[in-house]
Amino acid sequence: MANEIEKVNTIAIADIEKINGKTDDNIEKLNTFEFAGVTFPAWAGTRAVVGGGTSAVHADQNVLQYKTVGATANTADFGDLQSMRSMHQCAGSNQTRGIFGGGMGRPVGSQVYGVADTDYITVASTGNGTDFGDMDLESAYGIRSGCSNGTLLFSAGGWSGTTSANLDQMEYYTIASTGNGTDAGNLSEAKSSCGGTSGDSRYLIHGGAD
Amino acid sequence: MALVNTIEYNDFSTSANVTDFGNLSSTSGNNSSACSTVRAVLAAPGVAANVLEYVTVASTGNSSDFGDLDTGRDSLSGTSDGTTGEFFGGNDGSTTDEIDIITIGTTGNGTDVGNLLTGNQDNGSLSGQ
Repeated sequence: MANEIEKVNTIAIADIEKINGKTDDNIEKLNTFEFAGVTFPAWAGTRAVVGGGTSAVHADQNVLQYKTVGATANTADFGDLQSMRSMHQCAGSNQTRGIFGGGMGRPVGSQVYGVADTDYITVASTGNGTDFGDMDLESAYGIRSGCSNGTLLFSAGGWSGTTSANLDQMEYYTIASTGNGTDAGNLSEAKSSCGGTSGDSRYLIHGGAD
Repeated sequence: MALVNTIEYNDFSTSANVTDFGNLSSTSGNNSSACSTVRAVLAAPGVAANVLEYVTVASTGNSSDFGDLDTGRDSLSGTSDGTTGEFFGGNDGSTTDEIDIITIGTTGNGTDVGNLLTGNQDNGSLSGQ
């Protein structure tokens, strides 16, 4: 008890002045602090959805499956894409809508063709894909990573089954509006099987085969 | 066709062509990535490799070592919630159902956290909600 009294007795006049100097503005600022929660980028959220692909027997799939990002868990069934395809030319999202664009179809053995079909899903609600539009150029051997800034979804390159050649074109979708892909600029060279990524403001294309 | 190690970029311009960004450590095809707003982690430069590399998206330059996937594979897909990245399926000699997780802001190895419904390669992935 004696120690506590000594502590009180050592409070200086300057300390009391500091306390008294707190203005109403300071107190209002303190009162406005609130928990803002976790903010996700415009192109990402807590639910991951995986679409299409090909199984061990090289049969293209239309399955959509999902899991919570970061959870130790297996995926669960989400629904189906409109068509069976793999090597999506582009897959990306805003926080609400996901798009799986184009890809490769392989209906008989090793025969390969490009698919222009593009589906969209509402990420928060399980269900089948809905028609969004078509890619500007059908192409296979596309990019398997989301390349969205939350507003536009880009794709690049790929391999055309029509011309049996790699492509150097880029195209984009406006995610919030259904419609076909629109031609954008060009890659430095025609190539397929690239990786793609984005970080809000920049679309990166890495590796591939020329 | 020959694999390349180039990285190029476009700033989401609907009319501009790409610009050189840098290079991967090796030639690479059928690779994937997961990113934050700052960093992109690139999976599997090399064929069926377990290599993870990263770049700082805003700064051009070559990729740097990040760590290793739990299992070396290519033909996988990747996505993230902006902090945690996940890589789905792929081919490690045969089609695999593995899901790896990474923390994008911290270099390190991928960890197996679950499985796809079946073995699956060449899929696409995204995130939202």
